[in-house]
Amino acid sequence: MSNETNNTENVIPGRSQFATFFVGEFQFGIDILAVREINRRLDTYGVPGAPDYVCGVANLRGDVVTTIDLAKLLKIEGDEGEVDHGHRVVITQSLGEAVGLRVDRVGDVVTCDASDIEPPPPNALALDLQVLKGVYKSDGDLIALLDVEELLQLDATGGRVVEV
Amino acid sequence: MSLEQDELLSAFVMESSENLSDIESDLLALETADSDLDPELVNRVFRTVHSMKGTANFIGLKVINELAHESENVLNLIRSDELSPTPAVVEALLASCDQLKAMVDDIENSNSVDVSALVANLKSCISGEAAPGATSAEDDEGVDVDMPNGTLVFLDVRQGDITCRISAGMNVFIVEVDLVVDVDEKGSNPVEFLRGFYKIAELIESYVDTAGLGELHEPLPEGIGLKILAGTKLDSEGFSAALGVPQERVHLIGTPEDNPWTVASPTPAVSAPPANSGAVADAAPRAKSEAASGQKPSKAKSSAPVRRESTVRVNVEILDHLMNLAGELVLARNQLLQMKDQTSERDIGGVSARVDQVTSELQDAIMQTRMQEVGSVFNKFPRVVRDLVKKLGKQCELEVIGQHVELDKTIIEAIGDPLTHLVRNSVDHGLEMPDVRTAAGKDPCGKVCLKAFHQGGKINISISDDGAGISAAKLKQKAVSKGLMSEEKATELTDQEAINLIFHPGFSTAEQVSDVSGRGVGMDVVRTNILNLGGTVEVETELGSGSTVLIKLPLTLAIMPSLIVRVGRSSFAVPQTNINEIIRIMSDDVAERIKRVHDAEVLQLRGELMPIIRLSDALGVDSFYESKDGAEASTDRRHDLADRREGEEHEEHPPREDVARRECNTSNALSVVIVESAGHRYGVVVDSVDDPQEIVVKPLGRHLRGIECLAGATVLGDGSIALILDVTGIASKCQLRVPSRDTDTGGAVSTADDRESQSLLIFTNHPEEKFALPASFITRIERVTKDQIDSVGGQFILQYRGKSLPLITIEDHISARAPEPTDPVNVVVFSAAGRECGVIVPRLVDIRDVDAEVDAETLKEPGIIGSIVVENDAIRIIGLLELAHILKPDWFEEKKQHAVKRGHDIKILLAEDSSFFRSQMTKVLESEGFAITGCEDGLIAWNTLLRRETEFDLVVTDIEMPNMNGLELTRKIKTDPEFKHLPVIAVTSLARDEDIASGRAAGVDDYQVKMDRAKLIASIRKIIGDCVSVA
Repeated sequence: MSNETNNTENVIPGRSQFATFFVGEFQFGIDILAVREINRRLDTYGVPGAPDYVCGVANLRGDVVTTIDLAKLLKIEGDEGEVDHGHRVVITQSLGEAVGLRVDRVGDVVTCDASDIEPPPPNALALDLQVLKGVYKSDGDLIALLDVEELLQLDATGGRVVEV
Repeated sequence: MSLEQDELLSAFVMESSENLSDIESDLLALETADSDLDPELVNRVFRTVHSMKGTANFIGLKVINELAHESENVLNLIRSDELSPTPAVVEALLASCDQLKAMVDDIENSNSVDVSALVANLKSCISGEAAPGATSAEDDEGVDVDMPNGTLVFLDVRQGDITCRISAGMNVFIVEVDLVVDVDEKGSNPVEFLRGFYKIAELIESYVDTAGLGELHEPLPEGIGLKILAGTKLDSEGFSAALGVPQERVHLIGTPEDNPWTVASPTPAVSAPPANSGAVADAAPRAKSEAASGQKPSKAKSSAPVRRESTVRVNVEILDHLMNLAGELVLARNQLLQMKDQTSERDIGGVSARVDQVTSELQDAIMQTRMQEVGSVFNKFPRVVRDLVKKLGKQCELEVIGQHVELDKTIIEAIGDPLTHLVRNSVDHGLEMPDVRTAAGKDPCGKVCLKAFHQGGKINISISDDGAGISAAKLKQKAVSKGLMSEEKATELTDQEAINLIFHPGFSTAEQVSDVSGRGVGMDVVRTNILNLGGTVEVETELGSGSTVLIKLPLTLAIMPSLIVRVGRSSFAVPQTNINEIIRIMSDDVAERIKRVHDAEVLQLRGELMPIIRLSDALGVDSFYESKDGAEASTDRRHDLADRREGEEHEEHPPREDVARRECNTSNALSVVIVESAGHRYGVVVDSVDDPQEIVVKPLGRHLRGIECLAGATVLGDGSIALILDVTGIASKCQLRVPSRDTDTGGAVSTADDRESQSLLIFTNHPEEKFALPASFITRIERVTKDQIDSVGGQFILQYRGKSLPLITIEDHISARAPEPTDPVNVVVFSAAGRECGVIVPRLVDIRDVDAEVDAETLKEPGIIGSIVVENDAIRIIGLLELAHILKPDWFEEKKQHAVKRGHDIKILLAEDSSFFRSQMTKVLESEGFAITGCEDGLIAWNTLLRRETEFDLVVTDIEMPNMNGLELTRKIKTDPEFKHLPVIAVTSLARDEDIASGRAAGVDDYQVKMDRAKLIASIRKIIGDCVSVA
């Protein structure tokens, strides 16, 4: 199993489920197994000296969880002035550590076959190809499937501006 | 492998590793015990090895079984007194013990390990004394044995065979027997001969020279050579007589006298001695341990093993879970306590008290399960030191104190490596070779002391040696040569900073990198490890008498007593281990206690200047200060803490708000937390200080690991998060320098240097012109706005503390360019003739100590007492008294009259070689109404005295002077019958205790530090007063 995924990084074997969410106008999906929970309001405390893509830390039932602003991490230009109507924090479990991803809105869970996932189009998302597992088309919407582990290793300087 | 087998194996591994570490200390004790062997000691080791052998056999660990079996045999002989535990034997046992340990650690592969050499070694120990001839067929490390004349006789003889005989007190010989002459012709036969031989000697190897025999049909040749390598207790004469072989054919190869356990040196050499017989220093380390109670155990019991109490093994995972639960309970308790404050109902009070108590007890109990004695780490050091000393040819005594001090298991596990490194460092780099020590008048046997003790809620572990110490100069040199820093930067370092260079990555202090401790990874790794544990490392050293490394560790990592502080809306936790004290400065005192020096703010604390850091600046967060009702919070716009008058100066504010602001100013005392870490000591200014709390440390996620100011996070009672501050990190982020321990951090007294120096406050009037004021004259520095200064009749006046302070502008009295207008300005306040006076100083640059190489002539003008050159800038030094004289001559007239009025015009003879100091001191003393006669050195002063033109009341003298120094002058005065009544005050920049002592010995009445004006005058007044009253 582990060998299989290692060999074919961009293709997911069998059927898999993705939790989707929106950042700006883009829809992203991550493996649902990597999602621990999704929180509505999570008080975030700023951390002086932290990279700018880190919102801060939050208290998740006694655990201190780093919350990451996905828009900043992925360098997605958002409307800075826009009023924040209820963002969500997707808590992912990675390397034995919970990390929160701050997203604008949460979408549906999509189930798809490996065959439905297309390799990332070279011209579409100029993201780090390590982060982008593939693209899934559902009802005309494009969902960019992200690899959580790679995503969390991404430094804001490493990511590039998203172009569609 | 079956599950059952697996369990058996892990049980075996766990048990064996514990047992083996006990064996090691017991074996070392055996070695030092010599004759008065403690039978229980041997028994214990024997039983351990025996049970290990049994289990290994049962599980099928053949190799471990084999080695344990052989060790057991040796131990059995020691137990039954048939074999004495000579160093060779112990060495062999230790080596086996090491190998056993290695195999247990890697149990899966233990069966494929080759232990034949060790087994053979052990066997040879046995054969050496108890079982003659029972030589093993297996190959030990082979050596070739030569005849005295160099011809090779025996090839590949087992080294162990020779050494064990020598160690058993035998001489080893090569005997050349002629079977024809010595045996056949004496009517004996070879069998008979050998039978007799065995009675007196142990045969190691024999060889018959068959080459010269020829064919059977030929007649017997002149002689048939039989060469025997044998060990015997007889000397060569006795041996030859007993064998009937001429003495010239009995060759001595090795004797016990050469060396207790080597074959290395005697003439008929055994070439290529293997490692286990390498040169041995005659000083095996005398491991000495001392119980915490201070009583010294008897010699035989030295390096006592950790006594195993009945223990329960708890899975660490479960233990960690318990710890977390306890942590959560602490949080719940905090929450409850907070609730109590809000609802203030009695029931909750009772409940919370109970929860509080239970939680604390639970926490303590659980903590206990994790506590282990540091002895478990310390116990390996006697062996480390023993091996190291042998390798380096040094002598060392290791003293272990306080091995019963307990620490958290995780800390115990983590300090092993850093401590090993430090102990090795002490022995390798710290201690000198015995001959060097003897030459330096020290005991050739060095001393390393390992000590653990409680202090201030922390565990301190110190590793001290009485070696050469660390040379700061050498470290600087090295840092420059390694390209770590520029030469200028290196010279600027204080000694303590230089010492701290050893923590710099890639720094090794030994002249040569030895294979012992200089492995490139050095003290920096040690420090990183200790810091990761929440501890600190400090090095103290004294050249020639040794160094001490002091490690301070928290008792536990899981729960940390901390102080919660607030800046703006954020809470931060400061570990209590870092906190020295908390100071609250009332708003009235702020201006007085907090000063600005250049860009930095300093706090005056009990006569010491301490750097302070505003936490909001260091972290880049907004600071708020709230008005009394807490309803509105406004960002603190005060750029300067010393400036607390903001409320008054902003007239554009509506009056109501102005009142509110003033109110908040008065209620807004300043909280400063004085922290200390890794040699840094500084104040942290925070908005407010909350209660101390026991916090549960939560690590920060990987995205936040690199932030140097933070050490983690914690959840507070109200569910909010407080970040834990890293005190060392903040200091390094703010680039605080580590002050040297022995220097005053910025007072007027210069460092106890041989050079005369004084500290000057440097400032600019016009940006291109620099001036300096002698810091010793300055009472304080105020920051005022222009509108606080009034001009009355051409004289500037500052309304100041209900008095009017006359102000001096530089450009009005000295040829200087007018300053560019700045607001606010600094006012340097000083006192002259008993009154206070201020100098307007537009911009402060620095306070620095400069050499007294003052040019008193070049730029001379009224008000300027000299000039110096600092970093290519000419700086004019302003004479504050002269300026005051120009401004207010009447003050000085008054003073003089005052002095005259007292009916005693005091005449002082001043001997001082530096014209700068002489003129300054003359002015200072004259302003006090004394009459001064200045002399350039002691001789001139003496001659002035002898001329008797003036009758002096007092002599003030410098110590260091040409022709006749101050001490000589004093001695002359004090031994002359005419002058011996004259009081002498010595002034000097050398204010060390020994200087003072030698001054007193010469007859000096008082000793004052140069430039401490107030004290000098007070001293003069006191002495004169005494004389008057005596008269």
